[in-house]
Amino acid sequence: MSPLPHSQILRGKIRLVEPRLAAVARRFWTHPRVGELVPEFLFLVHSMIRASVPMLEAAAAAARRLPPGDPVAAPLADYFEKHAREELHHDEWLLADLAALGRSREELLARMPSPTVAAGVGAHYYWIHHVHPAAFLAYLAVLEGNPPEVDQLEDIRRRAGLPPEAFRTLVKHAHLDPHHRDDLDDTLDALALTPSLHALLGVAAFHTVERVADAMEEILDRFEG
Amino acid sequence: MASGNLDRLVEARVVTSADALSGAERTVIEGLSEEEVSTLIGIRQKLSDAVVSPAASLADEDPELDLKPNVVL
Repeated sequence: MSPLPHSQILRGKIRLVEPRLAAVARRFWTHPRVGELVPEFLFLVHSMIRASVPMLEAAAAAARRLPPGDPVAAPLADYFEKHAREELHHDEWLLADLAALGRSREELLARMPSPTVAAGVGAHYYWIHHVHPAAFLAYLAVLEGNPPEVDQLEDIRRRAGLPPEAFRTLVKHAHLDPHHRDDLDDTLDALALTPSLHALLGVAAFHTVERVADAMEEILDRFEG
Repeated sequence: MASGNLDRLVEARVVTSADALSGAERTVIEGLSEEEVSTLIGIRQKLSDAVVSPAASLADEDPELDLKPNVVL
């Protein structure tokens, strides 16, 4: 078995694909039309974040249904239930930020999310229900593992020429996600992960990075096409 | 431990150079499953050189590249 803590193994795997996302993020945040990209980015984040609590609840329920004797079942379920409470209403925060940009709640909820988001998020529903709910830890590790920085967000906001109200959720996550990342790492390190669960986490993390990068590229393509 | 993972990832340009890897990075790569290695190679093959420069690889650390902010939860 590897001498590295489980969290270091997963973070090390994510690092192998980080440049895929970093290259897209650089194109995105330095784009001359960044002021128009931001509302689309917030809609993308909302498309994903609206699924966070339902997925955490599904993952907790699936963990509770694992066969007796599965050593990761109880700590996984406890973690997912706790984190579901922490993620409550983040989708509403985003709708409020988008309202500050003149986007109505009705318009946003009626708009079709990208199939790429469905593919990224939907894969985790599959893994939760049909493989093992531990896979969802990889989704969280990717999306909470590199929180934005407040100074960076302020720089983007100025270049975008948008009001601070549009960035409230992103700024809150700059403060919250480092704690969520540390909690997740502690949870990972305490789990009795088997080699097959490690492999599942790796594949799930790679898939998440790929779909997020694809979704950001789709937005860029609409503004560059 | 799957043998040959590092060679395969270098050949596929997921990793530029085995020499540049730390001990921990080697441990992570050597512990990858076949599914993980295949997924990594598949992701790399979809990247054009316009996205990742010919000199770069998925595993390169480029200070010019900034991951943040990406989607947050």
